[in-house]
Amino acid sequence: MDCQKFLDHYSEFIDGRIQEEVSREMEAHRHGCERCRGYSRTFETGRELLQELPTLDVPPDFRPRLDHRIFHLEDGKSLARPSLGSGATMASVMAVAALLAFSAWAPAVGDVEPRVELPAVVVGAPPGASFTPARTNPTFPATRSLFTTTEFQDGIWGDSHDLLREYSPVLDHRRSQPVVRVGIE
Amino acid sequence: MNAKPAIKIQPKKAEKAGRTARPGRLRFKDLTDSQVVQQFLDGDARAFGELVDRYDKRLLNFVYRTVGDRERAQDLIQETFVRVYRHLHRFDQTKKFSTWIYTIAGNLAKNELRNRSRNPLVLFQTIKKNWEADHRPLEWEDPKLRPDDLYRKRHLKELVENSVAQLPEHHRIVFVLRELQGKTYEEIAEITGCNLGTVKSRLNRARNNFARIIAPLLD
Ligand SMILES: [Zn+2]
Repeated sequence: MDCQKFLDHYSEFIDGRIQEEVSREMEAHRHGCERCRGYSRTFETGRELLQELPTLDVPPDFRPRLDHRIFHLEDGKSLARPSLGSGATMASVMAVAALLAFSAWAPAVGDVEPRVELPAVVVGAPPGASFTPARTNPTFPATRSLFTTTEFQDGIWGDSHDLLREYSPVLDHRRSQPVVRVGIE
Repeated sequence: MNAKPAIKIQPKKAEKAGRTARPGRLRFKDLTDSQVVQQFLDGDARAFGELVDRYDKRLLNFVYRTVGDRERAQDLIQETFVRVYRHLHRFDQTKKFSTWIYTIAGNLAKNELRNRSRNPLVLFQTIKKNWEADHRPLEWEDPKLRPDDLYRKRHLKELVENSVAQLPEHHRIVFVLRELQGKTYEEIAEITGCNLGTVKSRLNRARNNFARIIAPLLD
């Protein structure tokens, strides 16, 4: 028995898994070899410390979480097994799905995409007489666009615009410019 | 058997509700694992709760020491129990239930480590560590142990904990199963899917490495 052989068999030696004869040789070697005695002592000390390590506890939310997952597992199973639930329900679900699919596709089948002509959008043209702002109702001069007459928009947009103004750096920039009031006097 | 009742895995709660309590019913605590498994297969959902009770902590500590991440270990144990619940009807009842559930948990742990090792940096470190562990000459120095106080001992435990984490993965899983879970060589072979010879050599290597890592710390 030499040191290498001692180390090679050490594991089975301490687990009592080698023949008695080899085991006796191991004992004898350890008794006479300072290094192997040191190794054995170190391992045993390390193992003692290892076995004294605190163990983790299962956290309190472990069971509820598992419970929940398994509940949904059962849920999924019952959906996958229509025979256990109502066969008619599953059939009607499938029928409605097919109907929806057909109605979604039907207009596209054999039809040419319709072309819709829309009039050009004119930006900056003031609304006509039919348009009445809620609060102060100035008349919009045709020469000014809505965007230069900031304050008038209050009547049109109300509170939602305040929100827009609050978050928009663009509007902040505009607010720092002098406000042009038109048609008040 | 496939029409299992919707489960409530905490038997105590079910008892409180008075729905399931009946005179003379089997007390799970007195049953063997395979008897509890049979109860579950016979439709008693509370038997699953008993299996969770028996294995949650053991498995958590096994997986925690293997993957080294507490939160992840909890997730993997959740997954283990979900798989047990789904596949218990396929479990070969001539085998040991504990080996089966450890195999599931062990596979999930190995999978976790494999996924991590797909990270190129982690992969490189793992290969390097494994190579070093397998090729290091088995030399030994006498550690000259010193008497220790409480503080030193606490510190040492921390170091020992880190030493386990430093073992290469294929050594660590075998080491943890033997040293911390008390599994036999045969059980370890089944759980890890290795032959007995591989288990023996890996365990011996792991123990040698463990001693080598802690030696300077004990000195
Ligand atoms: Zn020696």
